[in-house]
Amino acid sequence: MRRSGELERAIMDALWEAREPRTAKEVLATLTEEKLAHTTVITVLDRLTRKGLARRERVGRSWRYAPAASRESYVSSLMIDALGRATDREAVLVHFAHSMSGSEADALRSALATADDTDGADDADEGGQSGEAGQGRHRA
Amino acid sequence: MSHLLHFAVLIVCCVAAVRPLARAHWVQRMPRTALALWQAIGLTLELSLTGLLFSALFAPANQGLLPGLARLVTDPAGTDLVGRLAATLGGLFVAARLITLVMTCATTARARRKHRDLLRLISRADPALPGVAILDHPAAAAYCLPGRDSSIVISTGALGMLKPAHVRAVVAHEQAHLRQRHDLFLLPLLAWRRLTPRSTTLSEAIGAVRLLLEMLADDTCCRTRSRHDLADALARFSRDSGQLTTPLGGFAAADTGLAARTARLRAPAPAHSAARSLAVFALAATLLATPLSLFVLPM
Repeated sequence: MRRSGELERAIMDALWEAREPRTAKEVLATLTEEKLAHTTVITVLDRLTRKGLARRERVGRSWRYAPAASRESYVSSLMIDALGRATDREAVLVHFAHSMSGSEADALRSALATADDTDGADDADEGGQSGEAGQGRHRA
Repeated sequence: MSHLLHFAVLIVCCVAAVRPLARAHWVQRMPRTALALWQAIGLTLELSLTGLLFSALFAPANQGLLPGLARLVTDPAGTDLVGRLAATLGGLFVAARLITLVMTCATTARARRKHRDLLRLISRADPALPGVAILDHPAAAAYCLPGRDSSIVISTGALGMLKPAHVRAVVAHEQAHLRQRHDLFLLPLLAWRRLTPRSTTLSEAIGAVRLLLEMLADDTCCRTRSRHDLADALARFSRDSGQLTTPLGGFAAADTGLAARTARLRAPAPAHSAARSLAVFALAATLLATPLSLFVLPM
């Protein structure tokens, strides 16, 4: 049995690959490499939903699960955390040094909208600063 | 009244010391000692502010803070209105500091947990780089996420522009941050930010302390890795930014930091004398001993 973190990861991967909402049973069927209980998969899916990483909808008698956002937008939101310039974040992450080139900045900027949605209100005051990050910067 | 005056003088001294110390160059030769001095200044300031607010309480009988507080508890009627007001103000200050510290810790912990949850889902491991989470993204980023379940993260963009020896130096630098818990050092300063959000003196202090922490991590890294590898890694991060558009306002200080770090790695200054370091430690100890003695001693 893998650690719960790895299981969450495997299940999120399955949801991302599916491209459409899946039931717990369907998710279980894609996780071929292990013997998992159906209830374990449901527990993990519920946990992911609670964390806001997955969302679910009732279809007939069963719940169908889908990722709350694309894998790319999550990567972008982590990179924005890493490259943004918000003072309060300083204790959250400690940077070595970082930088961004023009094209990378464009990619991040287009991903910003998604990240802002998932970040919610607590980052509203930092929106402008994240926006600046999109224009390219580096800092030690 | 002499207690009050002493505390007031200490507060003025501490605040006045911030800018010169933040702009000093000698600190770069001894980051560890300089950080101890910063810590002493911070603690002295906190204690003196508390002492100043409480001192009206013990001014009449010229007692120390602790005897004064004890009297307030044992004989409340014997304390005059000014004394009670002072006790209230002092209590409020201590409460405000504690509450902002707890709030800062909580906000930080929440943001880290969120970041870590996502990281666990989308980063990957590389057998060649044990303990490092790799993020598939073309932008160059290397950072660490402090805390109980700490991690070091490097983007594929950064890996692409660094040689293996550079990567090992970057990882050693980040490990130094994590092992020495540099994030805890910044917490009290960031908590002050909530009480004085617009203070430029505080911004200078935070900037200076952050740069010293980077230099301390650089020094720790150089004990096991070559300083040239680390300097090269830093330079590659800054060269990558050469393609950037004009830097935005308030950006120059950070540039200076990167340049200063690279310069001191490339041409290390001669080892500073132990006497100088000792003198700074003595200064720090004296500074801190003053409010502490005022707390217990009657005048």
